[in-house]
Amino acid sequence: MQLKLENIHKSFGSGENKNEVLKGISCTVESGSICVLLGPSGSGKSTLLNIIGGIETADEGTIYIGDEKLEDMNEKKLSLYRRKHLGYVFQAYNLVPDLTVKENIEVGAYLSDDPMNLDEMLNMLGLWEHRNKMPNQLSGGQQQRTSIGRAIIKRPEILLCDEPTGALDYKTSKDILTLIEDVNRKCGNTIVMVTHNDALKNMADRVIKLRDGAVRSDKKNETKIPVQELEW
Amino acid sequence: MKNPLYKRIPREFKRNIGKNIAMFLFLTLTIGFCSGYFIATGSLSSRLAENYDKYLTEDGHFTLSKEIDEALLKTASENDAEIYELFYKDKTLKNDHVMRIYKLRDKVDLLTVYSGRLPEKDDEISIDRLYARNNDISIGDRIEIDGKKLTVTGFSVAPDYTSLYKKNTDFMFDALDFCVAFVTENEFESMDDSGLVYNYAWMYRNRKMDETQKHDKSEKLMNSLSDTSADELDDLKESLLEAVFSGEIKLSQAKITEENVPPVFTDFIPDDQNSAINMATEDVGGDKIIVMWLLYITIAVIALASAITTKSTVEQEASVIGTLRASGYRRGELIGHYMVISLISTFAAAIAGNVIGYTFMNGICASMYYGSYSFPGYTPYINSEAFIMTTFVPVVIVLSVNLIMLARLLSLPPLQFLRHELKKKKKTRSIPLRFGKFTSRFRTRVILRNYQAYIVLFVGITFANLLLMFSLIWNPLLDSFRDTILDNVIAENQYFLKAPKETNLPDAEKFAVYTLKNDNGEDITIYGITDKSKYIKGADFSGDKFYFSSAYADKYGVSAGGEVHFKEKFSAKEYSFVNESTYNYPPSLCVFTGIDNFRDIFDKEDDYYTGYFSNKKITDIDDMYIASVIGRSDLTGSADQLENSVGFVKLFSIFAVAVYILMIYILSKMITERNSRSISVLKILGYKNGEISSLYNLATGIVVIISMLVSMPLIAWLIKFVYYAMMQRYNGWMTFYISLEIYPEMFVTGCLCFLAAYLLEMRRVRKIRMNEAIKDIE
Repeated sequence: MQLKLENIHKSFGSGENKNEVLKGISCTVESGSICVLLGPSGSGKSTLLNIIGGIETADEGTIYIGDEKLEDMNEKKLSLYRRKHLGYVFQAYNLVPDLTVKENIEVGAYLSDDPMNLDEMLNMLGLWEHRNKMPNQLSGGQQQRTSIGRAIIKRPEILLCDEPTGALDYKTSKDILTLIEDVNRKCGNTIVMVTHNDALKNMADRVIKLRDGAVRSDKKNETKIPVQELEW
Repeated sequence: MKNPLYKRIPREFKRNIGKNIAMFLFLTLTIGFCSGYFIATGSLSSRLAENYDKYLTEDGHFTLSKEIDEALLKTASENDAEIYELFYKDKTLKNDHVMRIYKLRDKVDLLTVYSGRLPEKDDEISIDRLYARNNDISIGDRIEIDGKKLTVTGFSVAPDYTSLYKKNTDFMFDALDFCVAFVTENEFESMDDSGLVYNYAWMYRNRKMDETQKHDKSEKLMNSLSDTSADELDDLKESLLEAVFSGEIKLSQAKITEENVPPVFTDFIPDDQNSAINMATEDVGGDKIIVMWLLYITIAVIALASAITTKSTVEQEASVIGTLRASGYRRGELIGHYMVISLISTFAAAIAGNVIGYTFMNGICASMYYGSYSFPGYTPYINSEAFIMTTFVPVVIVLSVNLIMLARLLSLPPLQFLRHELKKKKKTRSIPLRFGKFTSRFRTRVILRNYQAYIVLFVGITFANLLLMFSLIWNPLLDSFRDTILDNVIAENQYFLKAPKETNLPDAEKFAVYTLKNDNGEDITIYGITDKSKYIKGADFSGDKFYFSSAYADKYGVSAGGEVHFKEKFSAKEYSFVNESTYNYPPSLCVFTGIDNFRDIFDKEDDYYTGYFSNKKITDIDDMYIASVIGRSDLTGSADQLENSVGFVKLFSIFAVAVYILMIYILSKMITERNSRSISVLKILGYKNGEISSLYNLATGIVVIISMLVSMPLIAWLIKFVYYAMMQRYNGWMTFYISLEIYPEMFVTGCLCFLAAYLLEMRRVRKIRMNEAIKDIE
């Protein structure tokens, strides 16, 4: 599913305290591609991701999800949009603490009429032996795997990842990014990943760099490198 | 420098303004009611205590078969007792109500005028205030007694009738159909002597005694008077024999007649056994203890709910607490900080509640008693005990519960707070849930995760259900009691005769009665029944078997084969009866045996009887031979009065609903808030508000339903236990019964309360924003 953003503006506060976080962002993410949003803290990348995810609304501009315009959607439709088309991976994992690994992934499966096979998913994520553990019994990497499982089990067309490796060590980060790469390859979903790790631009099909709420560069990556070969 | 954390308190209060205001209002109203109640009961108790000295309440009274004689007066005097004549005449009015008429008193049991004035002329009468209220009688109305109309001049209150008991053995007082009234001496004398009772009150010359001394003294007085009476009878028999032997009279003339027989005791009631004097005092005092515990349990339940929510806040703010502890803040400072809102709220509610209690609630509470008892005018007294009970104790309860909960939690080292590891066991193993739909397992997880909150909810619901059931049982219980009595009535009429008198009515069947006391001091009627009785069926009255009434068996737990000891009312003679089987007769504590056996036991003549059972009216016996007739309405009178008195119990259901809603609201709010981040994530993932609410709030609903189902049988058992204990205070017995209709009624009430809280919580779920889950990253 293609993502198209046109002239997105977003500000917080009002009057003297008004802070314009996004200043007319326009870009396109092709269906089935990996897009990395790069930028320092405060550049507006997470806000942009949240607007794409329908968590926040843009003050101005238009977002096209396939043929649909996000701004035309009411709360109910937005909810349905997230339910049917989106998967979300957070830096802080945000697993439901009361549920086991398996049940957390079922949280995603419940939303789909045709979810992926749960046991296969657990095996693919390397979580089979941890499936009955609670989140507080898992390492950060295992929690993020669970979070990815929850996001992709419902076969989303778009996967939004907000600093998915921000809280992980080097080796675990590589494993997680490999998993995201595999998901993209096997499932063909569009992935938008926010990161401040410059090295990750090499795993993307498209790299958009933001600074102070504006697009500094928007390039197609012709020479994608597999994650396992990346160094940082 | 002041602790800067204090600045957070008003903001924190404002953040949870709904919960805080709800708790404050609930506590204020609860404390207001209890404070008003304690002030009212304290004032009433003081007023009743004053009666003894101020209005010269009797130390007891007895009734005789005829006027007292010198011998008895001398015996009384030797026992430090002054005897006062308090004759009365029981007059049946046209509406079948009984009016007990006394002369105006001036030496004992002095009257208070509630309103109007005492009678001054011969055609005037003052009546009991409560009876007048129950029967819409006003001052100036005229009451017809024995065909003569008397004008009501006022409403009077007698200290020996604060509860309108017609007979001391009655199960319940009767302010609906029974009244005490006062007329001038002339008027009293001019009335005919039907219903005249030779009643004498006594007062000890030395009235400064404790209860035990007084009880012993009364026992001694009773034995002395009884002995004197027996001696007089023996003397009479002896003198008659002597007269026969000496030839002064013929043998046929040697008879004990109404004229020469000495007065015989028909009743003897020291004041400590007089329900008409003590019932009000005991009821006021007994209810005070119930209300006190009700208050403390309510405060404890609310304090628990509040402490659980505070604990949840501490868990959510673990990293801040860890930082503060690491920075040097002491544990005590943080404990104080987290419980200050609960304490201030409780204290403020206690003050506001006391203001309400002192200003108007005490009047409302007093009026509940004025609906059952004949008290003099009401004056509220300042009551320091009530203030302590409703201010100091609630604050201490809240302090203790919060302290226990927080002190343990905040004793963890700062590092554990920083790591959000607030449990002794660092890694909790999950309980495997392999079956059921995902949503069911999700809800089960919510319940398991929040089990402490749900335990508190269970306690709260159990308490609310207890109140609810207590408020709902009475009407069906009284209806059932009435129906059971009417279904099991021995005969349409029981005639009690003053002297043997034959009737030609074929329907009539003779019986004999005698009254004994059991070990509990309660009067028990022993019936002598003719063999092959038409009225008492299914029992063999040909031999010496005893059949205990179901009321007795139920109250004292006597089963078939059980042996019970009884003793004479006015002597030490004892009897022992074995229950052959229980006879289904719920209205009265009595024992049935064959009339021949009865005559043998009580040493009566072979043709002795005292009355008739009859389904038809006996018309061929003159009224002057009939002491009393018990019909259906007499048997159900206590149920009618009780129904009138327990009306206020319905207030409990309102209170129960408030506890229900508050508990569900506070705890489900806490659970929603504790899971706000997960709820936010679920929203981001595309869950609808209704779905989220059904996951979290329905988990609460499941606990509510389980709590109701589990608590109901527990409560039924507890109420039955309390009921049996409570009924021991009363003479007689009322079969315990819980209508099955109460259970669905309670269930529906609980569900509706949950629904109200559910809708509020659904609003809260809707309000949780999606960026809650991402705010740490921003």
